[in-house]
Amino acid sequence: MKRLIGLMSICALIQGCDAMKALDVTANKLPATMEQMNQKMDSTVKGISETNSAVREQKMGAYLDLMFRDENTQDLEPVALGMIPGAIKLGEVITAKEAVELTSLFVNEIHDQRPSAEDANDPAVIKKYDHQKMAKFSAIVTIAGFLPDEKVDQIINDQIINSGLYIDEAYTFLMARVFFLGTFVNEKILANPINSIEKMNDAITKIESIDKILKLYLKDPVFKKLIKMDIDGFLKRDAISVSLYSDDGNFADPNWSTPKLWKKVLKAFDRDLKAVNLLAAPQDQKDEALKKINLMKARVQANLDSWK
Amino acid sequence: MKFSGMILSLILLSNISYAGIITTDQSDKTIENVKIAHSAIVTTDKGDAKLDLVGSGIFVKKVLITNIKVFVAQMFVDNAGKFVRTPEGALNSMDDMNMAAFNLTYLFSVDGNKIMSVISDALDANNVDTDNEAIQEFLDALKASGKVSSGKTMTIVLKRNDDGTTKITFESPSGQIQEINGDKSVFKSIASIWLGNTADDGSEKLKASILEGK
Repeated sequence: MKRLIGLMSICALIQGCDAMKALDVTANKLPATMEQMNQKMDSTVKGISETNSAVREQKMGAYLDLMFRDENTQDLEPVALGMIPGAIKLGEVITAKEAVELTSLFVNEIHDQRPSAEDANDPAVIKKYDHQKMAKFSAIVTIAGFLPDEKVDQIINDQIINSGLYIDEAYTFLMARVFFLGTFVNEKILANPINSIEKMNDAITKIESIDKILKLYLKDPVFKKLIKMDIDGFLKRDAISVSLYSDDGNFADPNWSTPKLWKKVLKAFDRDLKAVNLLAAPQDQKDEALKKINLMKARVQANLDSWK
Repeated sequence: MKFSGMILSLILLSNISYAGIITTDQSDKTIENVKIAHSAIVTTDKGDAKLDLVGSGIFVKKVLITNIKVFVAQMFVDNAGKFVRTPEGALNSMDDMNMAAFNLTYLFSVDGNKIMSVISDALDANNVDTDNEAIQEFLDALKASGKVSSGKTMTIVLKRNDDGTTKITFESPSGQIQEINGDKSVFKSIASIWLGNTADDGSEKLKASILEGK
């Protein structure tokens, strides 16, 4: 466009010269040329988009495959640690809608899949089926646990606030996220010293993710009852039934009692996050680190105060 | 091993005390193959003291959907007749005790950090000041236990001194003994881990089992 304006300006200066005719012809042809270029550009963008989508879908398949590999699903309890790397990578490429669609698929598969009539009483077959169902349950909770926050926000907005097609699966998904993160924070993060700024930031971010879901009832009290997870269809195992809040309105499990978690994190600032590991750094870096620590501490205190 | 190496090892070992702080008798009763005693003998500076079993139980922790059997606990006191077997009265009845011992046999491998974290939760549930020097030292001792393997036992003995202060004797699963001196409140604070407000369902069931005298 700038080039066209430039050409027209030059034309104004040299009006009347023979070159004008040639320029007129060129100027007349430009819109058509540009139109063609735009079409080609659109087509290229569409092509790139399709390629990106194909690459993304390919990645999704690869990460799901990684999660369900035999060696990663061998030990599913108490926590399916082997499935976590795949769940983290999947979370990077999966969309918010696909995440709830996948939740729906796994919940239905756990519910519906049965051995054939002639195998129905074979203990080995029953064990295999329940193991596969447990792997799918573990996939639901690990994917929910590690999906980036902005995608969880989108699920809340699209499916719950705006009453989407997957509203029920969204409740299951949010419950699965709190269920997994609560345990992960207690068993893996808070059970070890939080002795670096990055570890502290990770702890805070994960507890804030739980906090956000716990506080959805502030938008509508009905969410206290609706956010739950009922997974049934196991052949020998008990159904898994978890709710966010108990009937008396309190947190249903101390694992996701975020006021308690925030208090523990506050303690960790003094106990674990001492400046000793920064002693070798230059003074300006130490000052910067201290500033970050103070900001994080204020963030934790604000989160704790929000429950008072 | 060369002779000089053996001498060096012996010198190093001599700085650490390895001896059981309680001796228990054997009964026929077991929980998860752990033998439950009738009584325990604690050696003190004033001679041996006999403590009687008031209760035992298993601590089960739920992680996601899995119930993990973590340890079998046995609790002994020197004045069992005064032990109050109610959820509200049990902890306060510790005021009538001069000695108490808690014997924990692990059924599941647990890291020292995790043990410290669980005990901290129990102390928090009872509003115990974890900045108290003796409590802090006790938590550090738990943390220093390192990884506790299945089948190993840790023992905590609480003794009320003549001046009312508390002496905690902690024996780690590796047999290392540490003595910690604290103020009067420390006796009940440590006992509150098993007899006070419970931080989770597993602790609640263990407390109930002890109160029932199992």
